[in-house]
Amino acid sequence: MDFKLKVWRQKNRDDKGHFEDYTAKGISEAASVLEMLDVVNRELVAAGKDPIAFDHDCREGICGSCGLVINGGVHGPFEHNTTCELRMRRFSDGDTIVLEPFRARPFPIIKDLVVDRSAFDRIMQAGGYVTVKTGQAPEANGIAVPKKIADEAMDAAQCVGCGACAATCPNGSAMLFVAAKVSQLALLPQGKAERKERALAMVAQMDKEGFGSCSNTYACEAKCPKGVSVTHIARLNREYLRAGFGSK
Amino acid sequence: MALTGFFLVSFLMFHLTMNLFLFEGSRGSFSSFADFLGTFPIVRPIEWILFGGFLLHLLLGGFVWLMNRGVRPQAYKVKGTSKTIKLSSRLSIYTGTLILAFLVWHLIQFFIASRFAGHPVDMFVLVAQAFSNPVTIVLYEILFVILGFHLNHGFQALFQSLGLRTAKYRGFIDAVGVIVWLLIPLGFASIPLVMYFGGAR
Ligand code: HEM
Ligand code: FES
Repeated sequence: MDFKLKVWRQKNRDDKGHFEDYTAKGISEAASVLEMLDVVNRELVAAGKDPIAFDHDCREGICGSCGLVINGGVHGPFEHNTTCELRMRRFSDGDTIVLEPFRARPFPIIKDLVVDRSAFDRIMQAGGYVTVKTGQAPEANGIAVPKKIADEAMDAAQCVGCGACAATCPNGSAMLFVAAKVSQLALLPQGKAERKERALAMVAQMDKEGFGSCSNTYACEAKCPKGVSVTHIARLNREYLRAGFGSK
Repeated sequence: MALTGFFLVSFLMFHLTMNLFLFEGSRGSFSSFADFLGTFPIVRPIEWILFGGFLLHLLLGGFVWLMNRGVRPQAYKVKGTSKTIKLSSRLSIYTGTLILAFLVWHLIQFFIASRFAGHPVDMFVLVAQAFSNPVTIVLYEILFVILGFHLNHGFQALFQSLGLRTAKYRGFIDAVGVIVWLLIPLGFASIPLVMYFGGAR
């Protein structure tokens, strides 16, 4: 398959950046978008040019490293896939494909399509954990968790922290990410102990990083590669209210 | 946003209920009910709370909207995200602003005209006069469509913001939402039409 590419190139954080045209020729329909970029980059390097920088790691949709805006859609124009999972067979031969970086104020561009998502790391450091004494592994059935609760926590835990929610949100809000983390831990007995501090600290850090405010447009849910539901945002709001008004 | 929104929805339900008494005609309960509200002292502070609720709601809405400006310093070349958002959610700031503009006119038309007339006014007559003008009716009907849009986003959103629209209640809240965003505007919309075409005399 052959494609015409329009790719965002930006030397560094301070560079203004621009779109540049490329052609990708002889791409296998089983190749992912990233593998197509590998082919283009090989040619660029062979021609002595600067390859297109993009983020990736696992290439199987579990690490949350990859993330491009493809033809206006975060992780591409389809649903429930990461960029690395998006195969070229979903496009038509000869298509023009526009590749842009995730854009949100707290995600500064490092180079080309690579953005700095350490804001998410700092939100996690603010409260996305449980404090436990790591002794011996406890007996697995020692703490009973009803299946419904376990399932809901598991759905939240699907979040890979890729940043698609903030990149697609018209308000640049990271609520779905923070909600997934807060909800997952608030549902489980191990996380309940620190639920109040966690909700307050993670939301405070989110605001400090400069993410926008949620206005319930649910753009995030529509494009989350892991299908994390906005009902977790409702749970985050509940946790936050509870932490603010409830007894400490 | 959510609490003031809830308050305003409650007001709308009350307002609609009262207005539906217009269907009883000029000798019905509407004018006397309006007289009662216009003269009973307790209603004054409640009115101020209502105006305060509106003001707070639009100040908060404007504030959220302003704060979210500039959160995407550079726009995407291909606009794809807007397709994934409900029209009513995307337009809420604009539908809200239009409702405000309407409200100013609406208050001048009925509230100011009755309260500050200097003599007792028959509310039914005032409303019937206003709705004898087809232009007024068309503008009101347009407003009710806009109100429907605003509530289509707002009603479910308020439960989301209050943390009640979790997996368990999402379906229920959205179902009740249909009643609210569809039936409240429809109820209001019926009033000028019925009055114009002679259903209430
Ligand atoms: C006076 C003019 C009005 C203005 C300027 C206005 C503005 C807004 C704005 C900007 C929002 C925020 C939307 C968002 O981003 O989530 C909003 C939400 C909302 N509005 Fe209004 N609005 C007005 C009138 C009304 C009326 C008449 C009602 C109902 C009776 C109403 C009910 C709601 C509700 C329930 C919400 C959702 C609150 C939430 O998201 O938690 N609004 N409004
Ligand atoms: S590279 Fe790991 S999720 Fe895409």
